Amino acid sequence: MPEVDEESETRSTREPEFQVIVWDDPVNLMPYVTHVFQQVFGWSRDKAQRHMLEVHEQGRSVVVRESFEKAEFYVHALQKYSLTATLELAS
Amino acid sequence: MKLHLQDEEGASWLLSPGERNLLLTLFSRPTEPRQPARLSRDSEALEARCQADLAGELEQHRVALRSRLVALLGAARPFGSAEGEGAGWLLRLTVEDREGFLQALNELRLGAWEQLGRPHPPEVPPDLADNAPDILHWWTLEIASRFQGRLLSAVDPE
Repeated sequence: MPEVDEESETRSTREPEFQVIVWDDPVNLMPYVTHVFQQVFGWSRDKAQRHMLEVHEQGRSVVVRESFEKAEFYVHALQKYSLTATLELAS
Repeated sequence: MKLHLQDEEGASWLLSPGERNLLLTLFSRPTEPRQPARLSRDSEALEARCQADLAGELEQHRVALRSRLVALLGAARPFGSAEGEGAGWLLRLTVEDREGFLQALNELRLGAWEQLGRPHPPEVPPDLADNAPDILHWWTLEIASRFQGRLLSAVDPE
């Protein structure tokens, strides 16, 4: 199962949620993806690396669950770094 | 490209004359056409809701980034014993500029990769001829990767 933050899980009881997914691709370098996660989400290096490896090994990682506006903001931020990121309705 | 000084607001980087010229050349070229980024894979409704905004925003962002980087490289200060005669250049990047630099380098990598037909893995073929029609794209992919690696290894040392 993809890792999801506890804080985001709590929010899921309050409002409709969207999840931001980062997908694996063969071209973005692993240190770059780790760096982008640190910059966009303010994560520690360890956490950023865990999600990067999840993308690499499982093909995708759910990085946040948020309201539409916030999720859209994160997708745009990730795509500015040319990561393959999409926004989906949380199931 | 070497890290010279780093502080809370950013860092100064030493560029050789060749590196500065190379970066100016890379960032001055027109952008390669990119496949449009998708907002959603599962929902057509979501995709339609924001696709136009996303495509426009990303394109504006790319153009502005390159313009900013060309201006920064143009404003780099001469550095070294023979100041002004090509000993080297000191490039000052704020944290925001550094991130823009990384994004622009990655944009170059992905544009070249797409032009090459999205090879997997994206590695230069060992038998690539000097006059191969796609050598410029391989060159761009490799050079941008090297600069990206230098920036990242200084910013996020292992």
